[in-house]
Amino acid sequence: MLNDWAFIGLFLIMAAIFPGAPIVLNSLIFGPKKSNPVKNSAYECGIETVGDTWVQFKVQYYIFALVFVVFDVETVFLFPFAVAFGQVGLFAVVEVVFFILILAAALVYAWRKGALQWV
Amino acid sequence: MDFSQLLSDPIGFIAGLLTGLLTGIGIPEPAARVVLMVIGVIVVASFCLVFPLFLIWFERRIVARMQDRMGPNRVGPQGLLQTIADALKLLTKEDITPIGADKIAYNIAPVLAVVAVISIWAVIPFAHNIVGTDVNVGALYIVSVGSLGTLAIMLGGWASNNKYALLGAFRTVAQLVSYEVPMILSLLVPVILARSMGMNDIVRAQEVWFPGGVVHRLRAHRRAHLLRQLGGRGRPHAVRPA
Repeated sequence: MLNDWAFIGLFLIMAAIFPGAPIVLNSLIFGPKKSNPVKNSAYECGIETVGDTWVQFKVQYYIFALVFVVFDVETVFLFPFAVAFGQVGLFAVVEVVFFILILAAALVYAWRKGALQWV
Repeated sequence: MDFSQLLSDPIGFIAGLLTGLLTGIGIPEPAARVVLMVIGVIVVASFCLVFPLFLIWFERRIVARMQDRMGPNRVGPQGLLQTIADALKLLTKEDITPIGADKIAYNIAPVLAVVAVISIWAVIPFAHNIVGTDVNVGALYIVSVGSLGTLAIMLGGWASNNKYALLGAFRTVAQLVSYEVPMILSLLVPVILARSMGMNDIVRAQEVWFPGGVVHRLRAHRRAHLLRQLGGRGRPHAVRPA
């Protein structure tokens, strides 16, 4: 078991090295370095950038993200149930149905409040 | 040395052979296991990077045929090495970080996007028993690591000091996020049917002669999953020089 996670840890390191190496090789060795202010300017269709780019975005967007987080966590709760599905009886199934119904009610509420509307 | 093991569990067979070889030349057993693990990681990780090189060639040839062109056919036999040549050309291009961009985040974002895709392959079974590693929460691992890609898009859009990139990142993240919950819910179906999150168990549950074979029950689910993939991820290679 511990071996498995050691494998995955090594794999993550390797997965970072494989795409990282070309970027490092390019910027340090192979790529030309002839920068000038025009080339390095932020490309916005040839027009100078007006004002600060890092502006505050509409708050509805973050509500959308919050609704997502709630339902994403909900699905994580469903996975242990899915694994134990063979052993647990009808009782657990009914309970999970109630769990989903409660969350569905929450979804309906968020929907009616307009949280799912694209800003 | 059992030939039947070579057929049923080739990776285990080769691993046993190599362990015997390494301990035979005086390497202690734990060190031999680490060496084997490193070899396995390199083989699986490079497979999932080398394989797309030829898939890209394949797609370009087919799309070219559809459009009555020849497609890449000069570099190597039938143009098979075209993608490698393209990659080498890209290596000699100038790497530009725009003025005002967050240098670290701007350069980490593409790496993170690829990490998210490659690390999924650690648990993807190529066949029964031919798998990088068989963790008992494989399905959950795929879901959690796969969603790192969304983070990379947000990071790249935010770091590039460009309003168009930022808005594009916001839109893409909203789209990916809205596909994520249906994807996880559709992954629940094979987990329920196989009664396990381990990828090997899910593969075993799909063997047609297995008593609880789930193949026929999975068809509808797989169609839904395919639709989700078509909608969720665009075609990353759709825009490229001919």
